[in-house]
Amino acid sequence: MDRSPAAPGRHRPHHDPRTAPARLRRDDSLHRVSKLTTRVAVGALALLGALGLYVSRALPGHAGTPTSAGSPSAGATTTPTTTPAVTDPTSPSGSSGGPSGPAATTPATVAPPVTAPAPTQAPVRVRTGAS
Amino acid sequence: MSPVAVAADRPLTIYRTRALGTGAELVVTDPGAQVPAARILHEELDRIDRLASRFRDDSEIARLHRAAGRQVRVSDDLLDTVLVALRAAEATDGAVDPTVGRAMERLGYDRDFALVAAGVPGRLPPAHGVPGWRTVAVDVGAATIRIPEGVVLDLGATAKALTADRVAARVGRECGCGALVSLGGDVAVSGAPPGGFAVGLGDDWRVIDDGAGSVAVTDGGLATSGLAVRRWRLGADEVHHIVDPATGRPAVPVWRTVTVAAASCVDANTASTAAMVKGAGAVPWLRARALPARLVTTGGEVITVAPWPDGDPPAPGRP
Repeated sequence: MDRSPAAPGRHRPHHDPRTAPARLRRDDSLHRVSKLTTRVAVGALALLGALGLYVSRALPGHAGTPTSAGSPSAGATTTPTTTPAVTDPTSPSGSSGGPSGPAATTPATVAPPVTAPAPTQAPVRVRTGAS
Repeated sequence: MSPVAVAADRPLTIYRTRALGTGAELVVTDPGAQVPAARILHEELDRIDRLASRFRDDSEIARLHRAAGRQVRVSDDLLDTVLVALRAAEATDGAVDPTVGRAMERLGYDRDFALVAAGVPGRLPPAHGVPGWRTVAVDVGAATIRIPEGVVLDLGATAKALTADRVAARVGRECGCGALVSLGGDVAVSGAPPGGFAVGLGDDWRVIDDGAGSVAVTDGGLATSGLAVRRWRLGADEVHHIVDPATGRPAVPVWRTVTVAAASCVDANTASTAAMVKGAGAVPWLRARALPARLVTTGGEVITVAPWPDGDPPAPGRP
């Protein structure tokens, strides 16, 4: 059995009463460092999660909340980031049309005319029909 | 331009030209506005052709197709036009779906219709649903669109009608007069004269009078979808251009012609196209939305949905 004195840097025996106060201080410090490390890690993870959520919403084409998109007849691959705008095609928007309005969350629908077509005997030169 | 009497006793003028593979007609209530109104018409026709034509390699939508699979920044005009198409799809539960472009190509309609009308080789493809409008990712804030690889958008059901709406609105706003705009029979109206604009009804917008009568339109739009035009032979099969998104094939013919009046030409054409696709389910669908409509079965029977003139609801048991 090797009974030679401990090499420099090696631990002294733990039961040495002369080292007890130092060990207690060291253990106490290590404990504090360990708690601090845990708190920093938890904080970093929370920050990372929040950042990820923000980025997922900020990047074009990436929905923050996945939904079951797709046509009834085919598997979907992508979800629209926004609900299609309910657009008033006749709204003034510059000389060539341009954006007609902000995206809306109301369900899209087709609306009836203000006044229904009425019978007429007036001569016509314009017709509706398949084209 | 030639003078024409429409509805009221005052002379109106009509301007005709050809565009978008069909005819365009413009009626204004102020003869002095003919020239600026016609210029607006041509500007908008040119704009939508450069924007949304499937048959032009240099159109913006063609560039979007070439970038399929990637998020692409687009012009506000294309963004708006695609949003209107997606809105139509949502409003019709997918019956009018802009992702039918590839299905159209499989039916041989991959070039200007004048080149398809004589017939194309091939055979009817097996029934297969189109990818669906929800696969088109749009970010309004960033003005970007992403379509999946293999998806081709066909905006035919809404882009032409949207153009008619825009022209009518612009003429009213910029020329200060009433206008009726017809693009291949898809009609938009603004500032109608007393009594409205008289519009003839029929299966084919090119036929001046086939005895179907006429109605006065005061606001919004009037559109007709049907089987009388844009039919062709695909090998041994006869096909038409109204594709059922559920099958990727031409919609099963129930109606020969459907005419709908709505708050805009876009809404009218969306509803008339949806009715063609929905077949027997069209009447209750139109009625639930209070859309005045006239439907003609393939057998020639006329059914109207109130408040269409003489619009008695169809008897129980009818389609």
